[in-house]
Amino acid sequence: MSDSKLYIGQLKRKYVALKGGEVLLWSIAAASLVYGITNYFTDDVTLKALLTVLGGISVLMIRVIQLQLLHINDSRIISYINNRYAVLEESADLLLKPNNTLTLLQLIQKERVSARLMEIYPAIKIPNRLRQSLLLAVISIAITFGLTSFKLSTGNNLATDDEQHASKALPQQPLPANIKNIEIRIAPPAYMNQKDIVTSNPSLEIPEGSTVTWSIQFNDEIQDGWIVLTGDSIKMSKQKQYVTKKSFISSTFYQVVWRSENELKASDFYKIEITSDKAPEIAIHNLPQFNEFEYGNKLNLAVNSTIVDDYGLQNAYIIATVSKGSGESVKFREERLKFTSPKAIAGKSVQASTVIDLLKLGMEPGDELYFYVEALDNKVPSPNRARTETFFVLLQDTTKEEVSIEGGLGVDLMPEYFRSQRQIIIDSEKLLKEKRSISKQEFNSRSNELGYDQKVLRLKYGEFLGEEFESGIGPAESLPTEEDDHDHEEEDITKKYGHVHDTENEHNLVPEKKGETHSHSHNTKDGEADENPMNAFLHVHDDPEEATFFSQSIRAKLKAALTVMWDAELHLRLYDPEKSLPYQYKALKLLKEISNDSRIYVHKTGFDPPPIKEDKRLAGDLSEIKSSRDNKTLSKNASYPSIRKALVLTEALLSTKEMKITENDKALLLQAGTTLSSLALANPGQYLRALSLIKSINDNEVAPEKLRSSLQEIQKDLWKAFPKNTSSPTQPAHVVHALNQSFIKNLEASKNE
Amino acid sequence: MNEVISLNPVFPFYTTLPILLVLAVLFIWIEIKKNHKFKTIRIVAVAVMLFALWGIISRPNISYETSTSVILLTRDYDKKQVDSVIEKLSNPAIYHLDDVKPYRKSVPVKGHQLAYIQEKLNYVIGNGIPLAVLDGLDTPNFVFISAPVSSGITNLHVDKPVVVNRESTVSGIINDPSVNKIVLKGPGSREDSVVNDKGTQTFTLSFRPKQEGNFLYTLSTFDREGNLREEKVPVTVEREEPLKILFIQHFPTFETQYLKQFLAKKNSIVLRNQLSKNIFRYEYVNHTNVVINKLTDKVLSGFDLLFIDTDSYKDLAGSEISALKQSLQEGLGVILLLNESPDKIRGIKTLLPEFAATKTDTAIFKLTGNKKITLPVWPLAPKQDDALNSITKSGTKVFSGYKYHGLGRVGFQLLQETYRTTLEGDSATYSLLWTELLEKVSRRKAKGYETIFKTSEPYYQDEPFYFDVIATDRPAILIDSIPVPLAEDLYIDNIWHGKAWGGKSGWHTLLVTNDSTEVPFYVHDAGSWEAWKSSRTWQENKAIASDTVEERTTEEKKPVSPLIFYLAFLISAGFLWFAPKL
Repeated sequence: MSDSKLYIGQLKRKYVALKGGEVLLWSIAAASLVYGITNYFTDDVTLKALLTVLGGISVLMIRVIQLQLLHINDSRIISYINNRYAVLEESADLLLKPNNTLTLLQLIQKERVSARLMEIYPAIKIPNRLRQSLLLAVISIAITFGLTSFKLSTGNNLATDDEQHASKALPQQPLPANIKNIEIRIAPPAYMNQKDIVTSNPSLEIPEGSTVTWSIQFNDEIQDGWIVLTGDSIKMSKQKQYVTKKSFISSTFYQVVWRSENELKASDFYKIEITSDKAPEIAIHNLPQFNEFEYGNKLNLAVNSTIVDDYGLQNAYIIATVSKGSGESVKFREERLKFTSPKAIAGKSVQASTVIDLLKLGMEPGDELYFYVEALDNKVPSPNRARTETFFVLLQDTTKEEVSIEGGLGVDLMPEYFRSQRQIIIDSEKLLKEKRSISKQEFNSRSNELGYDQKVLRLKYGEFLGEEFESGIGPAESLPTEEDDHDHEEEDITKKYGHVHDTENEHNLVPEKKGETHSHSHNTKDGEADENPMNAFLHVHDDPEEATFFSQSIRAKLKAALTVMWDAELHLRLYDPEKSLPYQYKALKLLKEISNDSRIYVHKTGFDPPPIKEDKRLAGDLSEIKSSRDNKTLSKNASYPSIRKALVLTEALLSTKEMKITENDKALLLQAGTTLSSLALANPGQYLRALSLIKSINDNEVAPEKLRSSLQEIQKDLWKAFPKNTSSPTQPAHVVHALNQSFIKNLEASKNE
Repeated sequence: MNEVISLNPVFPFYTTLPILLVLAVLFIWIEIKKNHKFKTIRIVAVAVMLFALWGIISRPNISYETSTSVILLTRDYDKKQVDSVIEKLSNPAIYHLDDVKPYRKSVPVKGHQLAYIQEKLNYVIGNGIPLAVLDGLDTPNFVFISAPVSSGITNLHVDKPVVVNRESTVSGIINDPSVNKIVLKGPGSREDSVVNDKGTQTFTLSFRPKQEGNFLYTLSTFDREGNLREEKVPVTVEREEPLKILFIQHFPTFETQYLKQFLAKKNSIVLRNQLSKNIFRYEYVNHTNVVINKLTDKVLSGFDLLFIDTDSYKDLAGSEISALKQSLQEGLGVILLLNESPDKIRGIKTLLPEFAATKTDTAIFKLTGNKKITLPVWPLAPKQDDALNSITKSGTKVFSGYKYHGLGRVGFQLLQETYRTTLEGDSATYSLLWTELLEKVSRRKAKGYETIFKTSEPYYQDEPFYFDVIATDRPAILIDSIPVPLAEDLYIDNIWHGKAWGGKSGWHTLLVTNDSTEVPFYVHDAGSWEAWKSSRTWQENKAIASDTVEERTTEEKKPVSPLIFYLAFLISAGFLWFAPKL
């Protein structure tokens, strides 16, 4: 009997739980929606929290009242199951009544219904919309999330952000008592596409080229008003208020000056700091600076670059230069390539990309491509430009590499002096093979010797780098024909005396093609000379742009080679040839590349001394050599003498109890102020306080009780104005006096005894 | 307390005693003769009566020793310490200085009154007698029972001298766990700060002055609640004194060219390279043109530092070498630049320390921080020698150093191609490699008059300070244009002692009129640097105080009350009169 009552109770609780959950989800949904909406309009945290809680609770209350969740009783459950389940024969209410109040018939019926209820109990379902409610809650949370993230990009709020930023960056400076109100409107130039900013803070931080309009309301009647800028002053016209405007392209500071009752009065100095329109920033992410392609591969080069500018971009493109040929016959061709995506460059940030087809550029094996990305922003009148570093693309010339020898570097000209990189590698490998059979000491000593050889080799190559720095390409160009001859000679010598190891064709398996290549290059040179008569008189290297390209790649490689040699030497010196070998191979590879790249280059850097007349040599005639003198004065007087004097003065004044500032002191402070104002121009916003205070002290406007703090502030800025000087050795601070002199003399005497 | 009885007789002892004895015999005999009761008691009564009579005539005194020690209570004294000292002494007199709170019935005493009781002064408890008062005592002899060191900054030391554009330091000791942070502020802005996390610790703050002159820096301490306390640190910034440098070389090297550039900004330089036997190339930087064909005493006395390479040294004539050695004795600094191992050069061995050959020709070392410096080095190492002063070294390897020769020094630099560090952009390392060597080796400035303050800072108004002047002839000293008398030292020639008093707070100048040398010093406000001041007082008292002092006593006499004798006489005489009637 009581079982059925228990079931009814359980059903009631289940009903309350389900409906309660549903209502809770509803209220969460409502609360989150309210939060999303209020967050969109206000930044006030308390208001947001209040509205959110209010929304949530009100929905909860409404639903609880609607569903009468607080007033659920058994009869409601009974009537529901009576309606829903016919098997109970509308008699479920009997279950709740005590037996003694029932008739016999009712008792029998109750017995039956109880049994049936037990049967159907597991199948009884309470109607609910829990799923729908959950969905609703999820959707509204998603909406709220969307609204909060959307808020950041609304233009409306950006402006307020800017204003907040401005007010944070610039502390509000007090206005003079005579100025009732000041309103400053800053209008950025049109191309920046920004709203005007209105502020009452006289210290300004404005975008470059902005027009500033001052509207000043004075407390009393005034006769005239000016804005005094450094080296310029503009008169304010009287409308309702005193108004004037001016546009600025460089940082400066200003003063409001007015005449009232025939007396000139001036405000403090305020700064105008210009934030300049920055040049675009370009980054190429997907490419290393040096790229090598083998002919026959897919000769496409994808260039993806990110271009960002603070106010907007106008254009961007790739400047590509193809260099063809080598040595004297090198030719350059410049092309401007557009980005394929997007079609037109605009906006603040652009992901620009294109694919450079090397074949379309007419590149052949051995040719090189130098390119960089250039971008222009929308600044008027002249846009800011920016470019990336130059990227190098080399289409490998495999055929040429086969026949090349290191002789071109001039290094092999003196094989007896030092070993080549290849020889060092061979020796290192040999040493490693013999490691087991020789003593540790010998191994170490041989490794060290190899390290020494490596050092000598490095120094030799280092000289090339050094000479290249010092003499450049210029001097050697004057004797091109001689050099060409020289070139032939040297190659001959190498062939005759040098033992060529560092080539692929070490054992003459393939016939040498060098002569052919060489004559070919001559041919082309001649051919070009025919085509263009100017070529005979032009040195393509003379173009500084091209010369830079040429030398840069080689210099970089040479530097890389030297670095690798350092590492190779290091490991050899550490008795670890095994670790050294990879570096040695790398060095060899780089050296080969350099010799292939720059045979001409290396020869041109060689020093050709002018021929010495035989009769002058070793004659010992010094008659033309004379003593010479060179006199320089490098020591500088201390910088900012007036500031130094003023600094000593302020310190002296501050250390006295009762300060009295004389006219002389004022003059000194004014002098320092003049120097300081020139510094203030260079560093806008700094030293203004000191300048104002110096002016006030000079005008006797500082109250005696504030004099100390004013002087302290002036001193602070004066001290700041000094540059940090480095120290260099000077006379030691210790002194020698009579006593220690005689002490040391006696000590020496006793030592000698 | 030893008590002794002494007499103060009305009549001489030798006259009264026989009379009394005779009387005693007589009276006792009379009493024995009488046939009355109480015979024994009567005899006793006679004895008592005569003793009383003797007492009345000879007036006996009891004499005993009493303590006359004085305990002086000074600032921050501990009552427990006073209690235990009183317990040890018998009835000491207790005084307290008038700015100290009294202890029970202690008597206030002013500083200048201490001179009156100085001989009795046995114990000083607390922080000690202030310096100004201590100075007025002739022969203070007391035990100092000190209070714990007061909290705050108890010691401060500013580098001397402070040179413009050089980093200098202020170091001190803080003894105050409540202080969280110490900040040094210059005239411009904050220079350095340190966190006090140990309670008691030494601290060092660095600063780099940009201008010469007298400046008041500020040392601020912040306690854990953020309260600020500021004290003034007087700093006298001196200007940089340029060096006069002479380079003598056979041929120019990169090393000397870079050295020349490094030194040229502030110093004057003459550089001589040899082109041929008698043909030289001269370079003058910030120096007038002079021709130096020969090194003489006169030429060398015009320079503070001589760089000479070993090739040039070898070519010097005998007279030139002796001139060089003479100049060395007089203070010239010489740096020998090696072209070859110095072992092979005759006559150079005596100048340089002895070298031993080493295997390595590359030096890898660290100077500051973690940056490794790699430079070629002469494969030599100076042998351990007491006369060797090393400058740049790595572990036990010495790369540069110097050796004394009379007043002068001879330096060496084994590192080669040091200009590489500049080329690599690390001019700080280059400066570290050379600056100390150059400054240690070059000639010191000779000064006729040197003033040394014997009393350590801080100075206060109306407090004395002592100073010494080292001078060859009698110096005349003015402090703020008031002459100060000096007394020559009894034992050491050329030292004069002086004593002066701090005037008003602020900067003052001690002027040696003989050569117009000015020595500035700062007198602090009375309330400033409390902890430092009390720690200095503490030290001075500690230095003077003895470990033990004998207790000072005096003998005191106290007459025995004559009433006792009168009563005794009356009772005994009365009894003798009354006894026959009983």
